[in-house]
Amino acid sequence: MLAYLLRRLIGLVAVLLAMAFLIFALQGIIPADPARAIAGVAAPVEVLEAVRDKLGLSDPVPVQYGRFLGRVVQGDLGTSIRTRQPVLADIQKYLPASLELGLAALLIGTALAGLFALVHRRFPGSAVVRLTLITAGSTPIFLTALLLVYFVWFRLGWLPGAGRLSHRGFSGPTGLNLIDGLLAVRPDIALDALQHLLLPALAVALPIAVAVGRSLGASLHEVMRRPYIRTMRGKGLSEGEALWRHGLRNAASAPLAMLGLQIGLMFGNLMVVERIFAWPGLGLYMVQSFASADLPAILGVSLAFGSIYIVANIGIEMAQSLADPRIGLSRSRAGAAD
Amino acid sequence: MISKAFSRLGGALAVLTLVLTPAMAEEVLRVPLSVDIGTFDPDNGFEIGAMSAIDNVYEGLVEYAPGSTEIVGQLAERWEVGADELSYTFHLRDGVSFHDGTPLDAAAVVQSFERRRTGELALSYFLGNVTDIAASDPATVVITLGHKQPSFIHVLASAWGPKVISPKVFAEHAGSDLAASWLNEHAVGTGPFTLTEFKRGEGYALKRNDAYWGAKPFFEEIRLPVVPDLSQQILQLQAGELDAVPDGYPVAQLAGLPATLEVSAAPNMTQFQIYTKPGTAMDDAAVRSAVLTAINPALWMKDIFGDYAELSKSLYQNAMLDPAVPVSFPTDLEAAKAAIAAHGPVQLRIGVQSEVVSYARIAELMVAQLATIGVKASVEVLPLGAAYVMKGDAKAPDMLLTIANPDAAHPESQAKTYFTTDAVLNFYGRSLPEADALVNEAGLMTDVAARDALYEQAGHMYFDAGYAIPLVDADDVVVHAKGLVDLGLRPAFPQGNIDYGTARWAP
Repeated sequence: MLAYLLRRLIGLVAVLLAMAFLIFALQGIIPADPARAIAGVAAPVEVLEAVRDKLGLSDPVPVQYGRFLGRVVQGDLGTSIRTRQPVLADIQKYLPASLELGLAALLIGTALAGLFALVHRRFPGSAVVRLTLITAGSTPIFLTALLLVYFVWFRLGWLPGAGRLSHRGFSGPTGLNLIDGLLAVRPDIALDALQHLLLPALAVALPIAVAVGRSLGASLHEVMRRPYIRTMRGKGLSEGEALWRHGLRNAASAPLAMLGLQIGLMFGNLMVVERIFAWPGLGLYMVQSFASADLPAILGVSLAFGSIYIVANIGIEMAQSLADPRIGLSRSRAGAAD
Repeated sequence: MISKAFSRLGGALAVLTLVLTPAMAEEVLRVPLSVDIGTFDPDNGFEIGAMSAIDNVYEGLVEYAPGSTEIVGQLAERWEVGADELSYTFHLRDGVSFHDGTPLDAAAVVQSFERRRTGELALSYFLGNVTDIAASDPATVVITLGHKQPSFIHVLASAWGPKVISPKVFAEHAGSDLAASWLNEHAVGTGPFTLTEFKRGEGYALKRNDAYWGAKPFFEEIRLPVVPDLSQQILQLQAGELDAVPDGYPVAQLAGLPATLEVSAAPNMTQFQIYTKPGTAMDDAAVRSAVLTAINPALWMKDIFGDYAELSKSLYQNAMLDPAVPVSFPTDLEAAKAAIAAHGPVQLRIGVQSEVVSYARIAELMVAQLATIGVKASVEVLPLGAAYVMKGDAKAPDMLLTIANPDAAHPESQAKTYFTTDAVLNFYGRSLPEADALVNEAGLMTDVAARDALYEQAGHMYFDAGYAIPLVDADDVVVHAKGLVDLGLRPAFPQGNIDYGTARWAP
């Protein structure tokens, strides 16, 4: 296990280095000008040149990359062009909101996936179920988010449609408002945070639920027809018991792999959903950084998302191995998932 | 008995709530920010949407009066320009204090302006021509220029012009970066509001400065939530959770606004223009004339802007300069068709500088219009920043559709930013020395009528040479709750910047 984790750690560093280099290389191709983003569109040429020199933007990309790596080793991700704050401090500020939203979306997504799989299993040939899943899976995330805002908040008034809290000025140790509200024994805050969380989390969760649900449904369908399940039934095990005790565990591998992929896609969806719901997380920070050609911020958030993705997938591989011991944490498997 | 008492108490509370709630609510103005604030430092950032917040916390020596390009005193009660036209003497108002209680004096102005011109901060270029700033007495500041610059007073009045910061800030937070780190998220100015809440990504709050030297603002608090999505802004406005959508409300929806909303519109210096690349078919005067016939903004302006724009009269914004002879577009479509037919196939790539809907719609309509005379045109939305590096690039689009919106309401600001050979945003690197000479000559003149005549003449030369084409001056359109008045919109400011100091609910 230790060797596995060490290998994955080395893999993580290699992936992050490659990701950072790619973003630096892109900087040379795309025509965005961070100096102009700082100095304004009408700033004179000499001012732009001074800003470029100050930021080191006139240096060749490999030099900038080397300088960046040197700083990263010291825990310095640079200074955001837009906020003029250390990128690391910005990430620390915006990460809790994204973490709260992402975790809630994963919880809701996984629960809905289970529900979809059960419905799929209960009505295997149902056109209605198939159509519902296809519609939910093919609806663009921005449309899902806007429809939720429009109907659930604006038309029906059931849940808030923007922001994280109605209570201004509340903050807690974790930055996750729902948990902080509970820790502070403030049920009003916790409830308010939950209400604000539900709609954006549902928007992020739906694609996860559909993808993982379909995968789980198909896996269950296949597993529940296997001879050993038939034997269990023959020995008097009820359908439910067979499903919960044996079916789910044996069918878990493929949906878990799908969940790992969905976590990667979720980061992109966070950018869209956080923008629409005015959710002050890393996704919104990233969107606004793009608009300002804020390369240090874009790099920092990419590395943060990349790290979370890899760590989450290590967790998923371990979960797969637990669900099915035949899947060992072998060298080849670890490498393949990189 | 008890239930009766409770019932009466409930009734009384309900009445009290009805009476008090509007009064409490009306003193808070809620305006969304589409783009989060980068920095609140008045010397170090080029804020657009949050400019109003900064300008309501900090003040400069002079400012543009609401609704006009007239310059009036702000912290300076009056000013004089020396006979040499190089020295500007400003007499400060009495009784002005910073939010931290420090009285305003000339030394504070000097310290702030010296900070602005160190060259270390983004907006230092505003004072690039200043050679000396001195306090001749506690209430008088003398600024000396390196060379004559009649537009200097406009530089000071610009939305991004130099502001005065409390000396205590420098005493306590200067550090090694001129207090830039501290001023990034804090503020101590003299304006009608103080910055009380700064939560990146979430929102900001300003509180009324009850010790303000000028007219007391109506609103006690201004809340500026970050709401990046326009649809979300519109829904929140309609739900009564916001009081205004300051910019970008779809024009097509303005005619059908709910009864609780209304529009305030004012002229603005947002001018849509086209710049043309050298070495294309547009170099041919006959083709150029034909293209002008097809893209004539009179043919499509109403479709896109409704009643909220006017045809541009010159390469200078209508609010900046009223030309004696406005530019005109040919109108004979048959002649245009014949010119293209005579020239042979013409293909044009129109680069669009932004994904903003109005850009795309203008470009699409121009493509359709050009097709009617036989020109094959296509539209490319340029990546962020691409327009600024097109100079000398053979692959650059043949035309660029962009917005010209200079720092100040002086024609020099426009010409020296977009048209002259050395202009910062001379997108295609074009050069017309004869016109540049007129701009330079006009830049030294103080007689406004004579000055504007020269700028106008230069503008016609750039236009006739096909370098730049003015299209439409778009209005500043703010959609807000009914009864919100005195928005204080200024033509020289970016669109949507409500003046929180003047805005109020109508009685």
